[in-house]
Amino acid sequence: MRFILNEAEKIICAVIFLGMTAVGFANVCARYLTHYSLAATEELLTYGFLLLTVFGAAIAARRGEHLAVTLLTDKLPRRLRRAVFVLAVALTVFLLAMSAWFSWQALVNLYGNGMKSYALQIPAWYYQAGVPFGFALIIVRYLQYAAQVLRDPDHAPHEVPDV
Amino acid sequence: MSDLLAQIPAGTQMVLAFFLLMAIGVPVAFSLGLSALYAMWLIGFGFDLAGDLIAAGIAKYSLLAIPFFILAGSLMGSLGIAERMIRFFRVLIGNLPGGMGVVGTVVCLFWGAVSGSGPASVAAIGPMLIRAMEEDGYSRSFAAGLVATGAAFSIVIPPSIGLVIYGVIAETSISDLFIAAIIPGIFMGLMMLAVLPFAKRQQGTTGRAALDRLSPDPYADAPYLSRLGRSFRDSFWGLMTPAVILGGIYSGIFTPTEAALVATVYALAVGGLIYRTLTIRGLYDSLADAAASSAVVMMVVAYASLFGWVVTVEDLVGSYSTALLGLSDNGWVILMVIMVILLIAGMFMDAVTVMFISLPIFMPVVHELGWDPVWFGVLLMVNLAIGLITPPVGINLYVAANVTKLSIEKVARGALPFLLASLVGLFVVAVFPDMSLYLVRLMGK
Repeated sequence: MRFILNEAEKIICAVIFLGMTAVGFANVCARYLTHYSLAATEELLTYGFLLLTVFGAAIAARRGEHLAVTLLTDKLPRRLRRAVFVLAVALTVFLLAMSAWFSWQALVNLYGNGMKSYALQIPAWYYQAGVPFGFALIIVRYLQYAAQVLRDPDHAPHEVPDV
Repeated sequence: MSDLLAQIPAGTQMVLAFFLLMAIGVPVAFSLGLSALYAMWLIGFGFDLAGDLIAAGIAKYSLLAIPFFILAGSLMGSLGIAERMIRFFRVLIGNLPGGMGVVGTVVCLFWGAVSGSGPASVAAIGPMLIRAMEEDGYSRSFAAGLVATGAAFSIVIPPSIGLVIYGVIAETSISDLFIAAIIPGIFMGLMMLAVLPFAKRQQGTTGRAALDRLSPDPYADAPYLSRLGRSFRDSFWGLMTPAVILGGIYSGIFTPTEAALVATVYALAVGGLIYRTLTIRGLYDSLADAAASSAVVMMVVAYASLFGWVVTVEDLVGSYSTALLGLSDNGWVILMVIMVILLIAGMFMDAVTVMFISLPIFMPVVHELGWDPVWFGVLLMVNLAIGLITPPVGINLYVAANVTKLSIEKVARGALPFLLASLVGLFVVAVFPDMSLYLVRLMGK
């Protein structure tokens, strides 16, 4: 249980990513062999990508991977630096909360107007359903990371994304 | 104060807010989002679109090449495919006069041809290469500078995440961009090699010990040709990766997104069936790491689409590009100005953010002056790569400083000769568009 709570976003990402690889590769083979592209796979891939991004951002938030410029804040005295850090975290959490809210609104809209997806003709809100929860999870992970920085600045994770 | 603020247009306030937020350490992606929300609040509409804008900014088919190229690179590293490649180059060119400096440069650049990444290469392969160069008589700061520079140019060498994003923003063929970047990418590598003879070196020990930790050479005592043959056989499948990716794109078999998918499956197949290094745990970690890295880029993309929406609504673009065009009648002067702006922007921001902010302004100028957008894309990427190794905020310098425990200043000084060589290289790529466009034409596109 603890493993699932700690690794929820990693498990979600691994499953989605592997599924996307399989679906995408199947489409490449199908297109190459039969010259027909499966429109449905494009839909699955792009929306899988949306979920992969939101939950992947939670992994990155926990590790402090989101690129930030710390050049100026590093020069501040310790106390002030902590205050500015708390402010930056508060602003970030505010944005993420707004994003979760906006995505929720978009979900409610799609649910209400009964829009169908363009290829598979399934309700479009299926794809949007995970997004608000993904943003909520980014908030949780970002706060966990921020707490760690405040408690022990020298040993907080500060990893480099592969970009 | 509030009167003064009210007189500044919302779009301009947004740009100022963005820089302010970035300066207090808010991550770049979130600075873009927050300043866009602020502008939406000022102009009084847009909030009901925000959810859709974020989702639509991410869910684009052509951007799918990004997570898969990152995943492919991550798998190549964890499955030992990259390690075997390094061993081959070490045998092939390790005995040249430049020694480990040459090996380091070539490995960094070849790494760029399998992964779409920059800074992470410094973290992954940097420490071993730097130690090997030190043992070969180079100073640590010079070695750190070399690796930081080599990894920076991996954003020029295809496959390149930066070029994928440029292709999407500038509505240019990503395949053409990949092909066009090959010769300039190799040329930048040659410029780096040209620095090596000027380096101060102590009598070295050929760096064997450190490289053995990175990739042991089991045939160390065999004659050269037999070692070369064996290491080629060992690393054959890894060395084929760029051929699979670029060959597929060249011949028109794959789109870049498909090439990224094929590269991922290829890495899985080589690791699972041939080298048998694939484990469930390793796969799980690679998937999670790649998802996180891809998300870091894509969060910038997502919030940049909010930012971009305000830029369009507020018609910021028109006024800035007209101002830029009005600077001079001479295209070269305007190009110079653009490149200086890009170099400065690249010093403070990552490549993806710079592109989203500056391209809406530069692209109309590119079209107006009749420049080839493919050539401009390659030039832009070289510019941004140089930004990765220029202080104060060259991200590669930070990573290199981190892995070597040197100060940023020391690494920056080590990178200085490479920086100068890169600027010369940038000039050449700018003056000879054929360098970029020759292969594209050859492919008959």
